[in-house]
Amino acid sequence: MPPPPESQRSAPGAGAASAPPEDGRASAGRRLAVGDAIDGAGAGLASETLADLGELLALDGRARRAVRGVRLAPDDDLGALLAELDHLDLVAIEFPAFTDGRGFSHARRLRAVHGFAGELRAVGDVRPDQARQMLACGLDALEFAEAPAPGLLERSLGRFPDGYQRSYRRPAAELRTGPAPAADRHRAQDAPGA
Amino acid sequence: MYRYTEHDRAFLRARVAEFRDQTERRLAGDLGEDEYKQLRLRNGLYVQRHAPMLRVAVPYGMLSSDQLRALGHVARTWDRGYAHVTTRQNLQFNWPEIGDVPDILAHLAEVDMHAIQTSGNCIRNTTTDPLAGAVADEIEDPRPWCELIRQWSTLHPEFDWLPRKFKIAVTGAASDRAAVQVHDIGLRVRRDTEGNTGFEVLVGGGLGRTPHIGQVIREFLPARDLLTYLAAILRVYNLEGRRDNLYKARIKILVAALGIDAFRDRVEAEWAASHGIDDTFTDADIDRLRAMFPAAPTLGALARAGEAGHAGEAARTDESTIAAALGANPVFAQWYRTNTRAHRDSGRRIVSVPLKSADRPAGDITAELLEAIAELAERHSLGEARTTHEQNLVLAHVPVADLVALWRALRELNLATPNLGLLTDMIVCPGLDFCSLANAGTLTLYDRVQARFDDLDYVHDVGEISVKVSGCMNACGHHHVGDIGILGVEKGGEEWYQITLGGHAGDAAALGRRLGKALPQDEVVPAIGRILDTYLAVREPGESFHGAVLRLGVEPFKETVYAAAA
Repeated sequence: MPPPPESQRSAPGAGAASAPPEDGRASAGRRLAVGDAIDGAGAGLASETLADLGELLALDGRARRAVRGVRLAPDDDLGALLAELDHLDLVAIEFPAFTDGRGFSHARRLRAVHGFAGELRAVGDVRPDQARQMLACGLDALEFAEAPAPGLLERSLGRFPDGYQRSYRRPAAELRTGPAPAADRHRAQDAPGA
Repeated sequence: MYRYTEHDRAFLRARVAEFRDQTERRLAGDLGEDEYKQLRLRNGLYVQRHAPMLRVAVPYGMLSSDQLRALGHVARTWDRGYAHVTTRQNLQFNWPEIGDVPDILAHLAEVDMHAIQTSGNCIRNTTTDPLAGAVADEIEDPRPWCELIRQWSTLHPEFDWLPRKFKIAVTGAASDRAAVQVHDIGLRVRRDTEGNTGFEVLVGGGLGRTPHIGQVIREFLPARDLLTYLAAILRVYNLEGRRDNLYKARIKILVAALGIDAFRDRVEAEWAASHGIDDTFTDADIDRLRAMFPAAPTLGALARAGEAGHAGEAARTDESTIAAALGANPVFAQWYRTNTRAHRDSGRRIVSVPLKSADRPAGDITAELLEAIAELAERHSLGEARTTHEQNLVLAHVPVADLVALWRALRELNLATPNLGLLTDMIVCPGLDFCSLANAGTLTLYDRVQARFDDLDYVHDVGEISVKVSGCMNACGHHHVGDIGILGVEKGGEEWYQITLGGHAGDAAALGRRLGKALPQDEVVPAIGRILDTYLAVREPGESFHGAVLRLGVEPFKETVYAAAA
């Protein structure tokens, strides 16, 4: 695929991967590392404890603005979430089945179209063979259903040259492998500032 | 033809390595069957009735001689010596071992071929007019656009897990040979009043259980917006298409449920919101692709002689050469009239190679024939051949002066049956013999039709007609859009066949009307005979079967078929 024109490359959405977020919420040091604890924008927010979108919207103004993370289900209306993005550090996008690809488009919309700079975490039935696609669509933390075999993510993410879709992020170019400590949570994160 | 760049090759090698890794993990028990199934489908590997089936992509139907030879090698080395041309211009191997598939793909990758996205719920191979770049009625060669779409859709990170499969067809000609009205997205090249290229965009067409004719979502989309508009349609479909019911998951169901106007509103809103975000291309990009599909060098006597200043004499020379051959040999003449068509250059003809005759299963081609076609393509057609939706092959650029030699060579190979577009040139899905979904032995029915209608004079008297056979509701044989459509259904453990008449896949696509109750297998061929006899009795001079059914409806045919059966 031919490269996008200049105007597109500098678009705020497409630049989510390359333009550093201005408010610093997405820290620059995050890396893709199997089993690493999440130390990025969503630090300290465990997926299980997050409010879902309905719960968030039911809160009144001040309480609502104190919420930093939310779960987004495939059926949720993204439009209702947009007004909340400025106080969120984390949106956890649910993949109820690995064959349900709606989360890819939710991620793409949040990251590229609406310029969300916080953490986009894939949760649910997330499989390692989808990691490359997820990172390309703007997700930057993957909570796998099962721990990927050692080396699998590094192999699959490092394998491809740039894809044909130039306005999507390029995980291969951004991949830096960190240590893989034993951990009960199986997560991968990539570095947004490559 | 499109020539792979080093980037394309590196990308393809990575895909082969990825699939090898996935297959090895599966064989080692490290990858579950449910997950591997989805991954292998996205690389064209089905598990069928008897064995795995590997569907190799033939992007928009174009094959080079080298690719034909590589396919022949695959057929001989890893299969049972033959391949099968599908209704979407791809090629299938029916007998590979799963463990061999990575090696097969590595071999194909050496000639820039692959099985990427030939199945699974993702964007499939883009198809087009098999006569692209050769016919006179072309507004613009659609193949550079097909290649642009191929690249854009290849391993697309966002659109690989759609509700259901997604098929795009493009035509650049005035008359539609790509069935764009029965695809998820159909694109017709158009020019605006200032001569700018654009597309009429159709959406929501498709066959299967619930056939729909595509509807116009954009009368004229400027070409520069093609990819962003496709992305907007795909994103709306990915988010809103039904995922609760496999049979209601195609985009046609979403379009029908919302109505075309509401669907268009959603797409336009998405397109506006994502403006400047999604992939696009530059004039230089499309020009680079266009340069890879140059016009065939002109051979026309007039054109040639025009340069030399002897126009009249040269024209007479060419015409008299072919006229002499036509006059001298009625068998050649019949082949010429039936299996060849006018090229945009009067010095060339478009030659079709039907893969249907009494001695071979519909659409099958052996390793030897693949290699022989490779040779003939090199000698007579600029080193390329095409596959067609009708499961035939095309040599698109044959010099008029080569026709007799080519005809003789094709006859030797038993590939010169003059039945293109006629009764015995049927479209037939693989059916019960290969497919685990089928209700009916469509290939048996095909054999019976070939045996019953082996009189070429009768076949030529009936004239242009499309007989399309599907072994189940999934409609791989496109029975809905056949002049005579035949659908295999299962009743009480037996094979029955539902006949429809009046379907049409061309410019004014139409779905066939059901003739009456289903017939048992033994009555199908006699019923076809009665339908044809009725047509011969009622037709007006020069009226095609399609025309007669349009004029009379199905009633006269219904009467004769069911009166006899009663």
